[in-house]
Amino acid sequence: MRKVVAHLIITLDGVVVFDAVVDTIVKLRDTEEVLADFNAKVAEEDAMLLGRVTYQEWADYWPNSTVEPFASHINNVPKYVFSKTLDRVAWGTRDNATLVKGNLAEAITPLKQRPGKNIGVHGSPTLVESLLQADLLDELRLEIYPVIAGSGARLFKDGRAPKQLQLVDSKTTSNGVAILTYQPDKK
Amino acid sequence: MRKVVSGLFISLDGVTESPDKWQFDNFDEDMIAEMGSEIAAQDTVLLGRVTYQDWASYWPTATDEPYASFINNTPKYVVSKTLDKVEWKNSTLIKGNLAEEIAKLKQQPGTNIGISGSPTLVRSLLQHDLLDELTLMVHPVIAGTGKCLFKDGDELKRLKLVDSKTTRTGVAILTYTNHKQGE
Repeated sequence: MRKVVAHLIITLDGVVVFDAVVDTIVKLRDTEEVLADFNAKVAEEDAMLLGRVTYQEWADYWPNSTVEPFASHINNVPKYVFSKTLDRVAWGTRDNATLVKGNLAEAITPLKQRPGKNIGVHGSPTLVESLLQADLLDELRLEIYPVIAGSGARLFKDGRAPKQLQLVDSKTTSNGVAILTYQPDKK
Repeated sequence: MRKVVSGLFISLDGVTESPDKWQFDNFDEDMIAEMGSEIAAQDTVLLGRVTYQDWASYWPTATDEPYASFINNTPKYVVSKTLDKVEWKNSTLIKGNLAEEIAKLKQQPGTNIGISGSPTLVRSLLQHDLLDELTLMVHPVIAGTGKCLFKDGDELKRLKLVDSKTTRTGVAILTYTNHKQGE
């Protein structure tokens, strides 16, 4: 069965919305080592899940972007946008974004049962955390940047039940990014 | 010059408090080897107040070797503004200016000065650029609750990854130093 794979850029202090250090992170990320690893994983995906916040930011940016290969990827794959508040979703002139309003498990299980490559989750930290808590995430790939952001939204919320994961892949780049991939243990 | 180093157990969600609650089977042979090489490179220990108080009632009578012998016999400096005295064998209270006291210790001959546990002290040293090396032993666990090493409002800081390895049970051991301008 196809896997749901989340990719997140995260600082050493666990921050995933890092306006204060975005320039540093962009500079560290824009290297052959990091991007080759990321692009190889993205090439294994043919659908995408997005949370509302990331969707709203990205729907204005990517349809007109020429940052390849990700621009072509995200513009061409079917996208499922999870939101309880939006009424409709659009993606430039393309008709390949679908709004999902219902229960997370009920929406994702049929998607996983369809034939296809992996389903990527990009950005969307709130969605990633919900998927993780609902045991719907098959793989969590963290790019850990050697930066303490000091403030900003964090991926993990306080007060959750403990959860064990398996480290299934790890590498570090020469500029100090640790790329760690985990498979959550499921109940 | 000798370095001030810290090695901390930390969960994927950044918790350093009570690793006994989330370490599970991750204290494996590779971790024991890592801890062994860390303490072998240290001849002085720094402790924060909370860790000192927890440990001073446990380690003097413990038989968990080799750590029990190491921590009982090594000179320990306890950083606290509230304690009046420290009683554990080979321990000394530091009440003055942290930067000055650490500068004095670093100028003395010796091997590394290791901070044991004491995440509040580690965070403070890191924020004040007094920490030479931080080794995070990132456990493949979401702890869910507990105090985190890093807090909102920490100063923005760039570090440099100088070493990384993984243990057989999936702990990522990442060692960082201060990032010097221009590197």
